[in-house]
Amino acid sequence: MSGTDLHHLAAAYALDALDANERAAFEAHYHDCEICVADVVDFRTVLTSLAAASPQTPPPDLKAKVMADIATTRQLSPRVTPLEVARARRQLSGQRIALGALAVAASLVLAVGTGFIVGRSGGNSYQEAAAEVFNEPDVRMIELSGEGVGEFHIAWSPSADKAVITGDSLADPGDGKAYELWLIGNDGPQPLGLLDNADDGTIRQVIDVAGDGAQMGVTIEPAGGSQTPTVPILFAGETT
Amino acid sequence: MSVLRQLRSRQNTSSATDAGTATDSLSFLLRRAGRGSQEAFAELYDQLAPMVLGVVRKVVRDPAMSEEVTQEVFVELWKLAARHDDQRGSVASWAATIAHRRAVDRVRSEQSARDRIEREETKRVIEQDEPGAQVEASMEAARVRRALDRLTENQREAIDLAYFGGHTYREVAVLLGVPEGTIKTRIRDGMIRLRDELGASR
Repeated sequence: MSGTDLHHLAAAYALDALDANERAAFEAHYHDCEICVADVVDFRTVLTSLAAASPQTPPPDLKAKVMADIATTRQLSPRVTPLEVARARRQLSGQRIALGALAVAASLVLAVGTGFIVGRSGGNSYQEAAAEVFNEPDVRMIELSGEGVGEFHIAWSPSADKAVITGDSLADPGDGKAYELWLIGNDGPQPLGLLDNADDGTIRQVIDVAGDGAQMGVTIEPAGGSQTPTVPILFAGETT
Repeated sequence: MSVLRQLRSRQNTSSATDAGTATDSLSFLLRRAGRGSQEAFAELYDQLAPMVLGVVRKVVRDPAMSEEVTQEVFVELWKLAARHDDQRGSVASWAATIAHRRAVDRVRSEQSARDRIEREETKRVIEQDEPGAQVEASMEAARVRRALDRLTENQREAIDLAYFGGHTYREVAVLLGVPEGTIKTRIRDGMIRLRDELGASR
């Protein structure tokens, strides 16, 4: 689809009237297109007026349900740019990074230990495989962040060519779609494999990682997987 | 009767609401909520819930499912509170966007496009003679009604089926028996007209 065609989809996009493929194509284009960003912001303002013109009084118990939910829901941190991440890293001492890695490791081990994963892709075999990765001396912790809903943590051992990946509070990728993990290096993004998300929005998986790369990322792809990532990359993190 | 036609056909019996002040306070509440204030989020809920439930209910229709989706929307707003970008629209607009997207994703995952088109056709026949649903008589509704009066019937119908019907423009084309390109043009021209009438940012 050409750029001009995509401009003309801004109104339909704001109305959520594109199918999944067109939505993805438009999203890949519009964040870098000033005209489309301005159009989408304007059209959404218009639609907010339409939405606000026919309000419904919510039932009284709905607020209590929402407040109970949010009391146990972790908020995502403000979005940080790669530059800010780099600056923060330079300021951190080696010791503090090590402590941070330990904390992430502890949370991953906890996830292993609570048996979330029993009955999914071999249950105990996941726990054993994950424990092996954690026992590798060169295991490194990677925290992914981005505009996706939920969170991913990765423990990667380059010497074992394996990584443990855990996901929590993830959005449903949609019918016929799946999360896919990528290793992003000098040769561009390499697919590491599809992730098997459970209905409760969690992932517990050990994945083979061949090669090296400065970043890992997660996208949503058609269920069969892709050879190149569908943008936007929803979660990304640096591997070192 | 379509939602937009109901809005349009109501008499102008408005009571005052001050949209400008509301916007400022929403921004303030969201910033506090983004730093973890549940109290601020509770106030945000009070201000946004009628609009969120309103738009979700139009799209989802089933009352119980609408409440479920509304609950999910607010949990998402809580999670993302620190990430709202003022440059990309107001807090209300952000909430309406997330609410509509969630509602549309829910109906599309529950039912095939064909089922939804068939249901829409049945509904359109049945609802033609029903009295208008309750429409809030507010300044906002009056302003929207005046803007809608400036659309052609074709533009209004296409936008109504897409936004409140939760249909893709391709589905709208099937429903109305006109080419997809025609629907894309009606939606685009109609939205530009509404933007001009409602005086959005530019």
